[in-house]
Amino acid sequence: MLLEIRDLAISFRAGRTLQPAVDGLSLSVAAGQTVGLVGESGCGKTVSALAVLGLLPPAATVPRGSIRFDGAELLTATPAARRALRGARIALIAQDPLAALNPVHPVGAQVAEVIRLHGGGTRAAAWARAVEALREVGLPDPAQRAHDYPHQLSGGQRQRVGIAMAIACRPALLIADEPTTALDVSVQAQILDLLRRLQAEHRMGLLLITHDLGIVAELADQVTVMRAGRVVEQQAVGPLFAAPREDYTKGLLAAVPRIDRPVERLASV
Amino acid sequence: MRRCGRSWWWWFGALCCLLAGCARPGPDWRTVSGGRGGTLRLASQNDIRTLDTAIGYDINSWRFERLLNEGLLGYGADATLVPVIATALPQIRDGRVFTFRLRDDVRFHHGRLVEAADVKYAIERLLDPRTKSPAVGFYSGLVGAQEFIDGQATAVRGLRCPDRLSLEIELLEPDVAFLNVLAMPFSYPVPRELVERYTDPETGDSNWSEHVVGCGPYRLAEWQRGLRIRVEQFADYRGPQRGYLQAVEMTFGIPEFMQLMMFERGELDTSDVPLPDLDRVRRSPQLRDRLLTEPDNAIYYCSMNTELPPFRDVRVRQAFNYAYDKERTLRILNGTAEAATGVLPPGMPGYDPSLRGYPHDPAKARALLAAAGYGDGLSVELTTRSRPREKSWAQAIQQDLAEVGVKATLREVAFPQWLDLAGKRGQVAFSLNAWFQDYPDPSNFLDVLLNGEKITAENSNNRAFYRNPAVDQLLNAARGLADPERRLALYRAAERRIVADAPWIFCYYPARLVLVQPWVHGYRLHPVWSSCDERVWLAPPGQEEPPK
Amino acid sequence: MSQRPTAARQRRLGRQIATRLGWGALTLLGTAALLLLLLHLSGDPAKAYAGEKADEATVARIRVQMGFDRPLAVQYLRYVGRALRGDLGRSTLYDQPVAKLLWQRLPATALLAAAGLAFWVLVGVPVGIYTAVHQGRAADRLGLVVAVLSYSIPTFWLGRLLQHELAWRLPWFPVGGYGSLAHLVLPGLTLGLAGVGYYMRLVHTSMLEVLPAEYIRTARAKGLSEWAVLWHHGFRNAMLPVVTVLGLDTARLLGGVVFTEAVFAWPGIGSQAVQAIFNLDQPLVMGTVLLTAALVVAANLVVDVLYYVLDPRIRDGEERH
Repeated sequence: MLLEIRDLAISFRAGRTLQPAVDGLSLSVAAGQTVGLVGESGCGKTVSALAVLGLLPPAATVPRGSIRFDGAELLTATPAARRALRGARIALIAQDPLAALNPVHPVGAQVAEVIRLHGGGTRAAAWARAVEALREVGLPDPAQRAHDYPHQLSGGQRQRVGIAMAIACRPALLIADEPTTALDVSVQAQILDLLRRLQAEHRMGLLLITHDLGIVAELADQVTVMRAGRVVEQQAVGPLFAAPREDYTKGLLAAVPRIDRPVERLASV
Repeated sequence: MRRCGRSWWWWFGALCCLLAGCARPGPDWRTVSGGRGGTLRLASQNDIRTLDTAIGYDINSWRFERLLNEGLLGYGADATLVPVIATALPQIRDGRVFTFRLRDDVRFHHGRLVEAADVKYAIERLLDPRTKSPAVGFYSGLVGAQEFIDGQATAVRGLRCPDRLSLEIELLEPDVAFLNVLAMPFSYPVPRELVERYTDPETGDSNWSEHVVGCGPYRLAEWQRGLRIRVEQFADYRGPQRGYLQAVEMTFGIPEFMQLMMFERGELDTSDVPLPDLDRVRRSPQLRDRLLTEPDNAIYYCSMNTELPPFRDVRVRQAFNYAYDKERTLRILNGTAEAATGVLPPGMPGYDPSLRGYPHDPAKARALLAAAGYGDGLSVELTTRSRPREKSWAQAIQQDLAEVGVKATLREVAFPQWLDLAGKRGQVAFSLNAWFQDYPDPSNFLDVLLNGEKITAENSNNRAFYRNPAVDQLLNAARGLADPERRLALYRAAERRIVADAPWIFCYYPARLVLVQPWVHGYRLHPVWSSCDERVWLAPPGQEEPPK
Repeated sequence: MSQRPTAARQRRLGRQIATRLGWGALTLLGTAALLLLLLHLSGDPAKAYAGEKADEATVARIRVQMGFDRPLAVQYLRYVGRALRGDLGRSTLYDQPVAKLLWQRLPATALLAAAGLAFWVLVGVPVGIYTAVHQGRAADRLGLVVAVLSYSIPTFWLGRLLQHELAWRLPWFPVGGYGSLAHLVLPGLTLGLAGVGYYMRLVHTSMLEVLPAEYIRTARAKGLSEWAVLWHHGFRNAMLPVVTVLGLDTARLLGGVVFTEAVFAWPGIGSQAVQAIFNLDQPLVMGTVLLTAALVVAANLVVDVLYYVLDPRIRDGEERH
């Protein structure tokens, strides 16, 4: 198993008290598998993802649980060991590509940075590989556009850059945190397509964090539904959509906006 | 991390030691031998304004102008006139024609011999309005000066050079005190060929000050405005004022308190004394023996405008003098002054030790005020320059007057307004003033400050606008008398009348203070010049043998 | 969007600079007019030049020679006309061309200002970053105290304190003056300490705004070390407001320079200006103030260009963030 989370609990210090954010999360992601982590905002799904990356804010503590990646325990690993994994073996695709890209550096440089960090090599070689990565995610005219700054790209193009940055080092596990929420509807489908294709090509495990069950239906194999830090329901995507066991999941399903339908149709074309 | 922090401190300490090593704690004794050589290290708050002898009119400028130049006449150790580049004191005809003979071995620093024409040129240049000299007034009594100033003559008729080394000077009216004017730096000879090289003939704007070449015992070695000046011995000097020091240096922009700090660290050879530090200096065993005090030829006074009420009435003016408590003022000034009994300070020729002035007598002051019709009180406004020292003095006078029923309000004005107000006719009734001598002659006080004929509508030095025809007559008569005894007798008579008329409150004669290091010898506060650096010599402690 | 509009960017920058220069010139003209009026009202420079003892006729002749007798408008036009040719008139105190006097003193002032500025940036920025990263800890609290002290202690008083402690009581440094590196230490420290607190807090605040940004998380997610995150991604973004303030702060810097020069007898244009004001040296005061104003205008221009270099968004004509 690529990623195995067992009985994870995360709390935040608020003054003298501890505020639980996640309580007893267990899930696993295998290579080539997509797992959806679904819930309303504030239910603990993003915090869980950050725990996997080792980027929890200083106020957060992990009182119990275990996160194993490739069989090795992450929670007790040294900061250096975790840093070596980030970007190389475990990568993150952020929600808002404009905010997630540094406004003062060219996008090519931001992709090349991660390549150089984990692969070494010369600046020029890293740049060439960055351009390759941008080509791979379908950025038009990548050699030229690599010199552009984030504000010069469209939203979809920026998210392609974000994805390029994430897959540049061929990670085993990709964590996508609401990867399409900030995008236009028409672009969403393209990005989802891209993710699906890349995952298949590189046999990556994908932990897909979203509040949007439509996307889950598109991509995920397994689904974990969270509510207020606890797991509500956990099963394969087909049964979940066909016969949700919990009332909360039913509620979520009912709330899926009709506007998602065209996405399904587009995706199936 | 911790080790890194400690090594930083180590480097900081080492740097400090290194930097501290740069400061010199005393003179460089390697350049001194047998009382000769070495550099005198001075400092001053103010920059030297100029070294152009036609323009400089302040203590710092004069101090260095004097080292770089020399005039027909100078002063001996006391305030008596002596010949310098003249061979002797001049022959005087009718008290208004002076004939000088120049020495034949005086050279400018560029090598040329000094001639009578160089003195004539210096004075004519100064009278030329394009030179913008503030000293024109001293020379307006020369025959033909006014025509020259007005552009109606190309030369001053009263300045004649019958031969290369002879100079004849003719005044319109007899005035033997004019010899003192000839000893002022304004009258020092300047080499025309060099001055004109640095002067724009159209506008008269001149760079001469930066390139001065004089005939004095020292020549200009370095002058960086705002930074420092350095003069060094002129090897070809043949005159009577050859100095012992190899060089004199002054650093600018150093206020008194900083001078004192540097003096205590041995970085300066002399220091001014800030008044707030005076008590500490007097108590300090290291400093008290190094303090020199010398009365200044100057007076501080309150002028009472005799043309404005209530001072038109002599009884009011006398009452104010009786009300003035000399002791209170002297206490404030902390022993840096002497109570005034008249106009002339003790160092001035003609000073009258028998003159008693006005004693502190509030009862008499009240009686005089009552007789003048101010028995129920009186309000006056006392105008002063806004300077801390004058403020405390003005407050003392305010208190003195309050004790005799006079309510004095203080009006402090900034220097620019002061310049505008002071000396403007009909403007200021009652103000604090000071007068520092230009030269040691009673006329420089009595004639300039109190002769009724010298009143002008603006910039009047007669700030009391005092006019007593009897006094004017005495002063005018004295001006032309060649016999010093008879001359001084007339001035004494005039002074007595002036004191009786009380156009001023005669307040105090100030003293000059300076700290001098123990290795500095021969340093004196000269009655005319602030200092005579050409008489100073350096010797390390224990080897005090005067130079031969 | 697709091709990079370099020419258009340069045109935009050119226009911006030209506008700035135009406003700068107007500012200088206005300053000169106001200054001339104020100085005219504050007293007669001819009297100040001639001194208290000079007689009426002498002062009148000097006034005519110096041109102070003419109508104010004529004086103004003459001044502007000459200033355009680099002639700032003649100092009445020193009887020397103002331009020359300023030029002689400018290096000392520039040195001191550079030392102060270097201190602000080299100490203020690292400390600001450090306290931002260690927000709420002891170092941050101490930094806050130092910063508050720094901007509440008057420069003049701080200078006197350092002078008394480190030059007089402990004779480590010269009391004042100019000439060696040792002379620069205390004035530089005074000017530096007086302004550094402001920059510590500015960088601190700016950094706190940048640190929670998502691109910082992205950088961490790439596996960058904390140092690389701060330096490559935090610092440059946090510097943007700092650069703006630095430009606006030129005036404050020069103000501090005047006080510092006065305390340490530093022979710059500031201490010269103080002398000029006391002696009513109208041309020298005007020259100094106009030079200072021109420097402030120039500094703001440099900030514009620096902004252009630092923030790619500005190059495409977006508003400052």
